[in-house]
Amino acid sequence: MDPILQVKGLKKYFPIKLSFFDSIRGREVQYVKAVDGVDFDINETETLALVGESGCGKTTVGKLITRLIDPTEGVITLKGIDVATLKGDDLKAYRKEVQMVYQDPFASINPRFRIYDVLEEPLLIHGIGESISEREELIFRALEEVKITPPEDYIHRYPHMLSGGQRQRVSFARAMILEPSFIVADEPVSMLDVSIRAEILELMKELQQKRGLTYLYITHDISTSRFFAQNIAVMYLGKIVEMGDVREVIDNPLHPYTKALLSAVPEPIPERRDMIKEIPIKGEVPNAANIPSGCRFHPRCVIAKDACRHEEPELVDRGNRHYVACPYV
Amino acid sequence: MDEILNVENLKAYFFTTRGPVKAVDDVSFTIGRKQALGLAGESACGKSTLAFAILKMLQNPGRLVGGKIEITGTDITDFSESQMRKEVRWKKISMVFQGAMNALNPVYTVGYQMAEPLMYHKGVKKEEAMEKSKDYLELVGLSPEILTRYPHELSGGMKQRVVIAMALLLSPDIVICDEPTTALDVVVQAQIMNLLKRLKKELNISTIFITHDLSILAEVVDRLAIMYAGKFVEIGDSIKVYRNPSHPYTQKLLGAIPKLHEDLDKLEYIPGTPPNLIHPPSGCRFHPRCPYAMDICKKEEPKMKEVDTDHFAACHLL
Amino acid sequence: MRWEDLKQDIKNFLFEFRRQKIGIMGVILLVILLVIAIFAPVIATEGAKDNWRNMAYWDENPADAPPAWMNYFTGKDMSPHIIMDTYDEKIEDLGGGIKRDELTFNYDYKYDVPPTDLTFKAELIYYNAAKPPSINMVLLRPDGNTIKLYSKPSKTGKSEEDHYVAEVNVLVSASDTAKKEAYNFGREFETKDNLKKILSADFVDPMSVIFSKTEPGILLEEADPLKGNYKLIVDIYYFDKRDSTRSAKSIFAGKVYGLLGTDSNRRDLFKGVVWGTRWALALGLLTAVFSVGIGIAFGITSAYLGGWKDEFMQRINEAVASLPFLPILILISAVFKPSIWNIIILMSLLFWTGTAKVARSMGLQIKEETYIEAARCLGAGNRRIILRHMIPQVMPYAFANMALSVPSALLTEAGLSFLGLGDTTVITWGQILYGAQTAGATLRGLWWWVVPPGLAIAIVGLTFVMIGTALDTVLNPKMKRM
Repeated sequence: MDPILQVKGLKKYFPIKLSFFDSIRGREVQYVKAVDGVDFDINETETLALVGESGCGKTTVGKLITRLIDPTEGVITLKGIDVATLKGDDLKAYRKEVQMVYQDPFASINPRFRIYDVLEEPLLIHGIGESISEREELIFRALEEVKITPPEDYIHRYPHMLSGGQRQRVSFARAMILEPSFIVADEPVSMLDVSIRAEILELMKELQQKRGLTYLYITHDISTSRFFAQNIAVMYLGKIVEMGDVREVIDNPLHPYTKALLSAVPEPIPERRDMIKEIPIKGEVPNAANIPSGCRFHPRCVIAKDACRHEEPELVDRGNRHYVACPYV
Repeated sequence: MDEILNVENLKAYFFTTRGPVKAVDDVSFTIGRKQALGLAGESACGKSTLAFAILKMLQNPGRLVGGKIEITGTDITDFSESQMRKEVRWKKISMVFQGAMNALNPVYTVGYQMAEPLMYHKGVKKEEAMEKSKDYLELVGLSPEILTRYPHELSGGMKQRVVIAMALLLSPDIVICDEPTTALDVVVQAQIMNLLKRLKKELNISTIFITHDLSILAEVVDRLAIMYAGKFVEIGDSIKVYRNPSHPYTQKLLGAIPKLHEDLDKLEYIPGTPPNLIHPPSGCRFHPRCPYAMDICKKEEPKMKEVDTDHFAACHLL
Repeated sequence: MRWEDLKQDIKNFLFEFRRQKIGIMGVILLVILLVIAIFAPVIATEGAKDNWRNMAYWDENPADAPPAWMNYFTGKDMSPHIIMDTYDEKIEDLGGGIKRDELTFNYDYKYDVPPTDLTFKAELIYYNAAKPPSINMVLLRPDGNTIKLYSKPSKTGKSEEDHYVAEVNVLVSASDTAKKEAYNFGREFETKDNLKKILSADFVDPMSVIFSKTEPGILLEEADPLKGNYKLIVDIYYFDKRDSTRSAKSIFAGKVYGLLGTDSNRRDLFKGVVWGTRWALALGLLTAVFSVGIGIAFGITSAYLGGWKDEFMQRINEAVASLPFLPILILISAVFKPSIWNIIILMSLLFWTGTAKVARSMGLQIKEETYIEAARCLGAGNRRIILRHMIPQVMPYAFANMALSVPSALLTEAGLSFLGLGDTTVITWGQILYGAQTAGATLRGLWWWVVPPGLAIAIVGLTFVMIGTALDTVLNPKMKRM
């Protein structure tokens, strides 16, 4: 299988705005290195779960792929298109190819739009559907596809009249109506009740099989990635520290950060209640404006060596396409 | 075991223009000393309202319309607002509100915000209050220097610890934790859970945990209550509820949790949406979404039945 | 937006709006105001507007008269101001070229305090310069007594083509005949003691005698009023067949006048307030819509563009905000006449800055909303995002702001008028208040001159605030009760 998306050496630095006095004193502009050299491929009709804590840069990667922001450095290729240099009509055409679904179904839909308007907007932007009836048919079909049925009961409702799960399905309908081949799903279920999460994940899977979709599934929830994704990449402070087959990585984690993350995942085993969990990690996530030297995980690592302070580890294939950025495991 | 909290047939309605929303409808339970009760259910099932009702802090147009609340043997059902403020809240029962860590006042130091209720409630002198705040910060695993910091200088996990310390400050008998770990990262969440487990062991307090995430509850609660549409559908010893869920709703909720080390072909979910609490479904409120619904479920409301010792469920199937 | 959608939207909007009691009250008030504004010519005559500053037009009215309904609050009924231009006319040829024109005015007197004066006005047309017509005026009381009020030939008229026009203006209070006759009439019924108190006929108020019962005290204004039908009979003797009477009327000058009384210039304040509604609505609404429209568009665009463009636009905003309104207006009025349109345009061009600042800060917030990013991800351009996503979000604020701008525009205009910088060719409430201020109305207790225009400004303000609040609730779905 060929990779539909290739990301190489992707970097995104956000400048920190200097205060007026600092700028006349000639202080150098500092950068938040949100994404600091990321490489990965995603095969067609597969899903890569991008996992990490908040602030690790995983959402920025998603925005770079959808070209909502421009990369500082690096190459993104989707279906052979160089994404970083797209402009004007080409960029507009690319938007039909790649869509994004957001975490908060309450915030990602304009509260003043009725469901009909929400779904009509992409059609109007791209001039799809000549007549009202044609567009209406597309809208109805999109809603039926995400199981908002019967559509005529919903098109005149405002988002606040729907439940969180229904809204998230409308978000998917809005993305799917442009018939994209690639979807960046940014924490699509983390704001939903556990009982609804499963429903949305099932829907995403079904859409994938029916439409041959490829997903970048951005999440902090490792247990849903096992169910939903084929591959997983664990990000820490703008870099991928471990990547590979989802079962392989979860059942046999190598990087100390992945191990810590996995140990922290709550599991519904009441017999183990009140047991204090061992979480092999120290301190808290450092500021992305001030990334530690060498291995950026070393201040929190429980197996850190002296060398870790100076040498930045490479992401190395440890066999079976299991990549790890730590030489000591 | 002595009862710390006894809630009987509690009813809390919101009187909206469209009719009364029966957010908590006839709920009874008790909590013993050092016991932790988990309160689980989908959003808007009334679990937070129940907590506010116990504290008698319902926002308008919410009203307590029936039932009885006893804390350490004192009936507080008819307590006035000033009595609640002076005698009950924070002293007997305190709460870690959902999102409270983001509600810390950004213009005051942590120390001031912690010491203020002490000075106000107990008339403690400032130095003494600060000293006590320092002790409690240490208890929740924070260094005393946090006292002079402002909330924006702290990470999410630290703020959550501060909020927990504040809830403990007047050594209450019961602490209610409403979604204490949502919006936190997994690692921080696990650390906070570790803290809560440690506090449960070390302190002489009872706790109520409210969350929709059953996997977190499993780590800490002794008893578990499942709430659906304003009513308890199942309550009992947590191991019994987890291992032998008797209500179809509980079964579905537990089935929806993805497993970290197991491969699943399909995740269970509950189709449909939670009901409108102004006009809840007749009979069993779960019947429109229940796969086993029978005729009787539409007509008759099921009563709580004992499934096992300390394990009750309200379902016609039993 | 398509027509079908628009129709549906309007339907939804009306459905929601109907449930807003405050909004409905606001709309009712607005409708009333609009009706008053539209039908001002019917309610308050075109002439009142055209002659507002023509003092001669008003001289038939009493000055400083309180509203007629004051009678309900005082023990004694004061006679209202009545202008009678309908009368019975009887023309009789007496032979020898002499003609008698008899005009009879019927006056139904049912008050406690008589009119302050009785005036007869007419234009007498005559052809023979040497023989101007002669006038006799008699009042027939309900008890059958008559009192002679006036008897004199008319003054020489102005020459017009082949004839002359004599303007007659008889004031009973100024007529010596009336005084004498009234004194003579009253003397018959007075006691000796009372008569001693009166030094001469000059001290008698003929109006009070005319309208009193024939009992002691009649000359001292102590007798009870005689209520009933009075007839004012005016006989005009002409000495040419072609002679005739034109525009005759009698005025019973009241102690109270109309719905809202009169000012010191005898102007009917009710008419002024009614005509003021037109400009109040026009001025308030136009200024509010223009200034808020400019402000919203400017602020949102500035917020959305961001960066140096935002900086630049904000500096423009601040520059405009710091322009002093009054000096500019004084300058403009020195160059041009301060027309109401200039005032509206100037207010619109200067008043948008506050709205723009708030709109910008709201825009900065909206810009960060996820659905804006989602729209960009769908491929939406700047125009679509600003028009479809950002501006509708601030519409509730815009409406509320418009509602609040209406009273402030009104007050600004009133302030300008107060300084004499208003448009003196139109009637505004501000102008009326300015008149009241210069005449010292408050010091003299002429509250009916001050309160109605002030209240009118407040009512218009209230109307728009009520509508604004309701619109805010309806147009902002988040605020709807769940």
